[in-house]
Amino acid sequence: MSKKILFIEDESALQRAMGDMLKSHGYEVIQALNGEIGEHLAESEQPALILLDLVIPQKDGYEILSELQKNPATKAIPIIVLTNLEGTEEIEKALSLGARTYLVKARYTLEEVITKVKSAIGE
Amino acid sequence: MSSMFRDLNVIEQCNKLKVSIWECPHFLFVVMGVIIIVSMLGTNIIANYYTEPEVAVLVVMSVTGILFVISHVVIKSFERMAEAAHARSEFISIISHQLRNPLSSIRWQLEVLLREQTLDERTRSYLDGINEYSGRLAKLVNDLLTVSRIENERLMLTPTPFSLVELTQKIITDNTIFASASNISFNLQIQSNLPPAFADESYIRWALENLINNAIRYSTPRTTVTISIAKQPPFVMWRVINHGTPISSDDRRYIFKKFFRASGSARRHTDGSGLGLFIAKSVVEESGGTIGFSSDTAGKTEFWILLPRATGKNNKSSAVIKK
Repeated sequence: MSKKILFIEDESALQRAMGDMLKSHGYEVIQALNGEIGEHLAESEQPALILLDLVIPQKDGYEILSELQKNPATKAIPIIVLTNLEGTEEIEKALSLGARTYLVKARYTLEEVITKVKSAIGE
Repeated sequence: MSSMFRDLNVIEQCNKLKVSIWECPHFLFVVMGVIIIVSMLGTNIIANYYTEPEVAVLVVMSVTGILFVISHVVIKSFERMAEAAHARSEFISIISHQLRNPLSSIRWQLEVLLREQTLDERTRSYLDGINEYSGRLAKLVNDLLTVSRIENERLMLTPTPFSLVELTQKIITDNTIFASASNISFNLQIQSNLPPAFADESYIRWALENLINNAIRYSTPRTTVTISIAKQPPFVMWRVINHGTPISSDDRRYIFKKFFRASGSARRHTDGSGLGLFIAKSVVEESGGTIGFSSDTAGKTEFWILLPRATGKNNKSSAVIKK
């Protein structure tokens, strides 16, 4: 059975591109265009990994990180932050809130992100 | 010598700063110097006419007051320039961030499209072109952001031990097509038993890519770019040598300045931003290393980097360095 990846990102073009790429590598993709839906899907779908943008509507990435870490049902799900913010403060804050890895979109190709996904879920 | 005279030309210096003459530190310093000389002479003359100490005190106090006012104007002028530089840097940072999201979108969608096996040759060739140019644009935006971070002292480096040899081999592989198109070959010389380097691998990769890219770009066709890696305790030395356009003596002192491009390079190569060597120097020095170069009139140019080697101590303390 293919592993589920939840991608929380409000840019539909990025959702589509990442979704296609993940599917071509055999993953099942769950998409959330805002923070609240993303948090809800993380609990109900129990994905193998979450890809999380930081700047998203309704609940930002930091709030989601913090909520998912507090929730015993989602605490163990590895989270990769995927954003275009790369300030020292943002990186430190996201990692301290429980993100496994922090990737800057503009510095990674989709293939490189997939490599990080595989490594994070132990493939 | 001529540059020294240029530095003394107050009007030219003020025009360069684009501030009014009464806000220009160069001019105000000259005014202050003149006032000091005149006041000293005046005090001497007055002291010869008036023997009362009150008069001398009054003169000294007046001159001090004038100098105080001018100093205040000079400091304000510096503050304004510093604020303007900070605002410019912030502006670049905000604009670059805003450009990044649509650029990431374009590049990721292109990446998916280019994986399609069914594309006809013409479509693929157009998409390759768009991909190449959006890649250049992304690199420029990333470079501008890195410069802005260096200037705002917010560059974040995460040093870890890594193999300079493996990194260099990867970069050479990535540049093979570019070198081959320019009729340039590579020669990699590696000393045995090299220790790993200790720095932020992704930024060092960026610096080495720039140096190798420049070496290819400024080489004469049918020559070889030689890259060597050797021990130089407590460092690991990485060097790249090419044969081609030498760096002129006028250009040497500016080579690591941002937005600087060697004489004539703007005409010959239109895709350089002039940021590469500035960022390379900042990153290498912030990693505890050094960077330098030499260039002879015969056209042999060598850039070298010394990076700290990984030791038991720094392996354990791979902490984040904040500049």
